[in-house]
Amino acid sequence: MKKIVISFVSQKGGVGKSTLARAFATAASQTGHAVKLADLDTQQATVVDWHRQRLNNGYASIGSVEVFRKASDAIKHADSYDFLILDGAARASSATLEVAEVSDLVVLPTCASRDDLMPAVKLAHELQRHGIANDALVLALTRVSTESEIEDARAFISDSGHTVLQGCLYEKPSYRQAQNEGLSVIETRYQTLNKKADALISSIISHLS
Amino acid sequence: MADFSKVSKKKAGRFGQPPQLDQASNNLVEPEHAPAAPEPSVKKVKAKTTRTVPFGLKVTEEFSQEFKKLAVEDGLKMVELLEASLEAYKSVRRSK
Repeated sequence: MKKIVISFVSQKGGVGKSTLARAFATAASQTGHAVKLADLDTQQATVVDWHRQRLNNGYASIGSVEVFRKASDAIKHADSYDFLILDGAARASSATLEVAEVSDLVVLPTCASRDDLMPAVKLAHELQRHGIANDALVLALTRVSTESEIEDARAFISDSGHTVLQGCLYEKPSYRQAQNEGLSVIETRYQTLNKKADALISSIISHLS
Repeated sequence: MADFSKVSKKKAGRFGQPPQLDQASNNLVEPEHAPAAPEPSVKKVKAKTTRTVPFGLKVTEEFSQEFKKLAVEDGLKMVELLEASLEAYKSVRRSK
């Protein structure tokens, strides 16, 4: 299969980059794909810690998980795996553009608040201005609570000229609990929550194909 | 007649208007890693020498005023006046 690079980036921390990167990596791994999950945040390295927790608790590996200080070092692995999944640092920089330029799809997670939506859209604008194709940029709604805020957030993103993924990630303690144990948000003990998270991951896949 | 009522009733979203393309952020030129904070400036403390030593003593108010007055009149530092006074005393002492 064609080697695919997908990146999760944002200007802010806590919007769900690692959560979605883990879920996507899990889904890809469970369907038999070779996965490299690159954590580009050396200061936190939360994905590496999460995967260690996963293995220690006896759950299946999702593939190769590694922390990289420089985005360029992670990009070198693009040809060795079916999916290279880049989990960006909690700020935008030249490295964000670097990973966006080699990505088949750039996912910008955002919570449903103006404080999160504004920087997410501004970063999407900036990536577009730097030559990243608009159809390679998608925003993903995370940590949402009510249908009305989802509706307003979708309208906000659509009005900005960018694409928002179908499905969204709800703010649920069970998602946090699953990740505490080294599982992803598509592997909670509640099938309904798994399906909702899976819908978001499926939406990402549909934009890759 | 066309019904525009639905258009005018369009509710404004709770998040307001999204930023326009010309309001894009300007972060993609920033370095990959934030520059380290500058080292806090440390006030240099001059190393102590043994060229001079503290020489504290208490004098009367009158003595202090007269001593300072003489130093000012002759353009001397107080320490220079004190040294001159010592030399004068030694001279007087030798002539005794």
